[in-house]
Amino acid sequence: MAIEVEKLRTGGVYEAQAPLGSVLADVGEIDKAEQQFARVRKSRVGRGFLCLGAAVLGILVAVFAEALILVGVLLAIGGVICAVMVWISAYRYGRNLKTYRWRFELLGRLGASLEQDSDPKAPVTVSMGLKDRGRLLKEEIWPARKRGKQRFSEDDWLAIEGRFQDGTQFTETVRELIRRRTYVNPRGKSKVKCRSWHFISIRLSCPKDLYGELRPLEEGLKKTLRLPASATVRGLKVGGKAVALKVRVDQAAELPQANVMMYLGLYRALNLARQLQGRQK
Amino acid sequence: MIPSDWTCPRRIGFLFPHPCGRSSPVGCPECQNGQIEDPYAQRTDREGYDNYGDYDSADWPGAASAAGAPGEPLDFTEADGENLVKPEEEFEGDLTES
Repeated sequence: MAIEVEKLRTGGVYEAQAPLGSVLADVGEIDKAEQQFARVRKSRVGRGFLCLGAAVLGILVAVFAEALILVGVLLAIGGVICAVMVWISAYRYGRNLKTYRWRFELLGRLGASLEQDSDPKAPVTVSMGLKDRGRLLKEEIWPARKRGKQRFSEDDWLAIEGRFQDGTQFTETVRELIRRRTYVNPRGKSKVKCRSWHFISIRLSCPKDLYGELRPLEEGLKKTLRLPASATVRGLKVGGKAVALKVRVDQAAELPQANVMMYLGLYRALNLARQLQGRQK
Repeated sequence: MIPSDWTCPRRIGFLFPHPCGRSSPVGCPECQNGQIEDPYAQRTDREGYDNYGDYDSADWPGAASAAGAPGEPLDFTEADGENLVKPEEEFEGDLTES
């Protein structure tokens, strides 16, 4: 499935309903698009320098050729304006893909792991935000610092849903909680500090005849679940035929690892349930 | 010489085992040309889960009770492993069996 590069650049959203293999191919395309955008940015920076060169030329003309002083001044002013505009456009062009590269890298790594067990006939539904779509949660005074303010926002940037070969339906969402603090330091300078936390929620809904009752697994799951250092379990629900796990990850670099480990931990318990169910039949 | 109707009986998979089903082991990335006997069990890329297929009954008290053997090790046999690969309904659906 070909991705619409321009829509991705301006809209910052990737949506698909396709087999996981096709989604992985799309992730490769997004990576290529990001590299293409980087080349465009670089070329625009170069054009900005050309405009600046024209401005310098204009200054020289104005200084050394009295008859052409007006032309020189106009060239200098126009050159500077053009350079600034081109540099701003270079900075902004496809910036969202550069900033959120880690997001599609996470989707790529997750997809590569899940593809091995996903049902090739069942399409997965993916929605991934590649720009800041944060919703403001609250804004308040931060009394710890002079003129301190803090605002919290959340961004549900990934939703993925599909089916594994064993008939289990999986649903995953990833939410980023962002805290942005602004204050004035003792030297009178304005400062901004941002911090993010990531919440991964996974729900597996299993075929009852294959896995039987899942509730006896809850204690074992709590004991044996392994996660990276910056990840902590925020919720675990084991129902009759479904299990849901929510984990907070403090370091974005550990997100892909935490994500895969969550699936491994859950499925290790499910494999046990399936073997016990097999014994009882 | 591999028979034309041969399908690979090995277990593959990352999260759970399922039949390989390839028609030839030649060039297979899972068993590496038939060199790996059980590609599912012998994987080494499950981060943090070196003992993915082993269960200690002390960690899984509820499951041990459900199995009717509280306190005893949750040791599974080849037949239990087979059940993971081929769910029972597949056997029932295959009328050519038995």
